Amino acid sequence: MVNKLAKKLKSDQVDISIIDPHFNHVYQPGFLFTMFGRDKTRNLIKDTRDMIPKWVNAVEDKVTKVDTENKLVHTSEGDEVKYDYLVLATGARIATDTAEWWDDSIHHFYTPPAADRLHEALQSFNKGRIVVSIADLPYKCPPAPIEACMLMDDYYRKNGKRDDIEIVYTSPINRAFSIETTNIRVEEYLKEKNIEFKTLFNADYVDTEEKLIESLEGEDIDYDLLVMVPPHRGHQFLIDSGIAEGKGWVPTDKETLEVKGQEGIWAMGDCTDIPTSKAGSTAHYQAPVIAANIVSAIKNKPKNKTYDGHVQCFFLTEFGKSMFIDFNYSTPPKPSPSRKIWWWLKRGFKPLYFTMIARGRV
Amino acid sequence: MSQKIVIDARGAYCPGPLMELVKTIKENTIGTVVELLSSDEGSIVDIPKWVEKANHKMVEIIEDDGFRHFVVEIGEKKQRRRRR
Repeated sequence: MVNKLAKKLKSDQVDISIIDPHFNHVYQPGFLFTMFGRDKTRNLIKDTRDMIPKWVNAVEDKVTKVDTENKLVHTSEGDEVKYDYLVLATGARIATDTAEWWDDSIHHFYTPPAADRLHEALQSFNKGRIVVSIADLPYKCPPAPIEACMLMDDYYRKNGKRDDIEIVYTSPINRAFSIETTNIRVEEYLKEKNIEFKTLFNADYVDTEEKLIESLEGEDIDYDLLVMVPPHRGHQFLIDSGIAEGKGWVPTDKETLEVKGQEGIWAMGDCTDIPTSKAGSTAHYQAPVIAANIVSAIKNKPKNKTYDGHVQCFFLTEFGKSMFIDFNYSTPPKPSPSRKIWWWLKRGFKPLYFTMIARGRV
Repeated sequence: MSQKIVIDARGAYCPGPLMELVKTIKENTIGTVVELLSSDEGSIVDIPKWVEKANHKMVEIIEDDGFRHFVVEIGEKKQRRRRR
């Protein structure tokens, strides 16, 4: 976002500030590889400041509140950053604290240390039932838990343990994957790989002592290893600032990406409530829209760029093969069969991401 | 008379409307009537299936202009087995 803006504006025209508590820019698709020991966490993280122009003011601090009336961002160090235009790109918070039954015996792969810990657990797991489940919706990267199941299948086939390991996937909705056109292929792959999937299973409680997961629909499943997509939430400061309510997702116009009820504020990526996937490509296609509209606003021109809901995802089905899906608000994906070419593009995507995409070059 | 809660999920796509219903039913008690407004075509299949599986009662489905009203009465939540 910063790079897209900086390309359109000059340093003597505007001040651009980016506020981030740590400036660790994490390539999150890589967690599907680190959890199987196929990449290292250290290779997934780069300093954001190395990817933006030097003239951009990088503030290493945590935002505590946005004063929308006076157009000020307050930080934990007591600083105030004045803005004329504000872009919220705060992402989703991994909120295991919101499930009172969550403890460290439940694995996930949504943070670097969690994916590393899951790698150790998968390595030492020899026999029994792995359940991959979902604690709450929405969550980042809807294909990820299904990809994890299919990669587990391949991982244990390759190391000879698959006959002793059962893999079960639970879906909160009436099919394995939310988008019907893609689901048809996904369910075929799950059946082919002997991965059991239970639909309309909304996890309600996990008894980690009894190793039992219970659903709101009155079903339960025993497990030996539980991998669960953790609850996701928006950030508390958004609620405290009167921008968001409930779970903290920012009410955002799905086309203009302007925050509803606010003046001069846009939202992008995982923090919004727009009806599309929380995925990196979503933010990628949103950034130029917001950048163009901010430039138009500065120049007192009409803000006429809109986001059409464009999302692209690789959908891994095994080590060496992937599907690719591309869709927007009005056109559902037509996934190709899983192919080697998509796998290699996915594998080669990380360097492309850090050198080209994050730097706003494409 | 039972309390009635209206959820307007028009404009949300799958699984949004179903998840709104699930969340509301989780937070309320037996006998409460929940009316979900959904314009998502998939809801006509997903909502009745979930309602039946979760032991609630589908009171009625009303067609409207580009959306449907799903009226659901919360039933008794199924017993859990809690055993190993």
